[in-house]
Amino acid sequence: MYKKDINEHEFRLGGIQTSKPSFNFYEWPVPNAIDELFRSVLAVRIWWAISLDDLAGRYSRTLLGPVWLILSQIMWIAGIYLLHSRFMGASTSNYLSFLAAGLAVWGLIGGVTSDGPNALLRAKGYIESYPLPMGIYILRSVTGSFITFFHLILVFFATSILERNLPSITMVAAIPGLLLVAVYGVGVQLILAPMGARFRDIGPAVASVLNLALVLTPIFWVPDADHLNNPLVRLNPFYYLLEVVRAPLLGTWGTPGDWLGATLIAFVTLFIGVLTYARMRTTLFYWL
Amino acid sequence: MSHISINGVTVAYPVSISGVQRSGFAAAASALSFGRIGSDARGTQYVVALDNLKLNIKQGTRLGLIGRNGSGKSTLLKTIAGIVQPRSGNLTVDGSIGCVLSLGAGMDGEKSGIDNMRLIARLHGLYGQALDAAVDEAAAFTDLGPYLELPVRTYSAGMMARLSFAIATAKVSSILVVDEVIGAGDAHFIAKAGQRIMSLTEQSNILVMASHSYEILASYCSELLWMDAGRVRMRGGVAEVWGAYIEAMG
Repeated sequence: MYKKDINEHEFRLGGIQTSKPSFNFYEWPVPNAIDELFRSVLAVRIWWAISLDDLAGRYSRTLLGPVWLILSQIMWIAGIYLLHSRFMGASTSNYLSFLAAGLAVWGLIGGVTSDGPNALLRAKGYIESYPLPMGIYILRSVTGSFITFFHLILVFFATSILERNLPSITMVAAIPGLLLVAVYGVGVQLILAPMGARFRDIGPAVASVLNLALVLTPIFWVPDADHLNNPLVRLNPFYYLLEVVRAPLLGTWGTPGDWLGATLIAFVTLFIGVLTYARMRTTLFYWL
Repeated sequence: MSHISINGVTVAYPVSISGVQRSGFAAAASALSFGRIGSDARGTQYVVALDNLKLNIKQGTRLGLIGRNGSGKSTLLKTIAGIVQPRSGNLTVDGSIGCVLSLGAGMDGEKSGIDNMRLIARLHGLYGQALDAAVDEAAAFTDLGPYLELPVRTYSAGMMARLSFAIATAKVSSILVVDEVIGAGDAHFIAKAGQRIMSLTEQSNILVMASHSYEILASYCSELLWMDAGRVRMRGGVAEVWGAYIEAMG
């Protein structure tokens, strides 16, 4: 059962007509959007089933299946290890674990952000045919990124064993870290998915920004105390989200500043996401 | 107690004309410069699909939609199903919805018919034992037999229609919305589907169905709605409205 009571825009009657959109508070039906998002979360059976289906589909007709994902990550890390040990002569103690953890978490954060603009476009077939709350497709996309993360984190455990790092109790703190990344993921996709459906250059723009962030965020390079105080690191939102998962994995609890920053970023992103979604959801269908 | 009440509903599709409409940066530039840069980003043109429509559908109604192509039949079905949001007006839909709006929507061509039915049953809200029972029942209804194990990309339009219809009606919903796709099925299937629809709508349910075929409309529907350019032109008994429609077509 649902009711829609929407205020009129200005229209001149006729077959094809022009209308100038004007700002109207009723164009931001936030309560409807929150209700729809809540129903999306409750429909967990649906988006979980579609995620598993996506996973199976990625590896149908392949020999190794998900092992390919892990293999490609191992190749990358092996290459960087070779470079460092042969040419740069830097000590590699714990660097492999640092790199593996960083790449896995970046795969999650960067992946969930870059999948954002495409999340609803991928689901075009479903959206046009089934009257389901659209948050389902966003949750399915975020879940897909998390499934990839849980594949890649195996490489981190492998490098940990190689470098003889014992698993420490701090690893449990990675779970709330992952939850924060999940909140950020849902938020950023709520912003990017409707925008990506409406404006088709959001996808390439996001990819460009992520390329920049990949280099600037300390994933390939280990930051020392000086680096950490530099605005380039301090003002990078991806740094905080990365640290709250990576630091616990590497044996530290993470600084309170990191946790505060990550919480703030995650929830502000979610807040902006809900507003963006509320503004765009009624006309989203027409732009897919 | 299901019913549908449509009051002054207008649905309009935007037609994007220039590349500027599709560029986020152009829209941002236009907004920031108060319209001086890229001023044609504003003033979107629309195609009005439903024009201030007023309609009331009570429980137990089996309504057929007829009209020329582009008269708004599919849009009306999508609006009732809740897929398209109206731009203005009052829309109340009381009851759960089952819909067959397009052939093979959301189906993965590489997967078998039975696997697709399982996923689509989930989209309809089924799970656990209810899901298994519904999928088995729908599989039997399609009469596709061994074809169910083959990938869906090998199916003909009629087979897709049978698959979609079977799984859409596997879960009893109080409002059934069916687009013209059912015409792709063969005569035997259309008879079976008709029986299914009759039994569903006997229990105070609503059927809204679009079709171009008089046979289908006569056997399934209790009344017809003739749509023209997004408005209701005539509503009444099947023979009466069909007669008027054919006469107007010339």
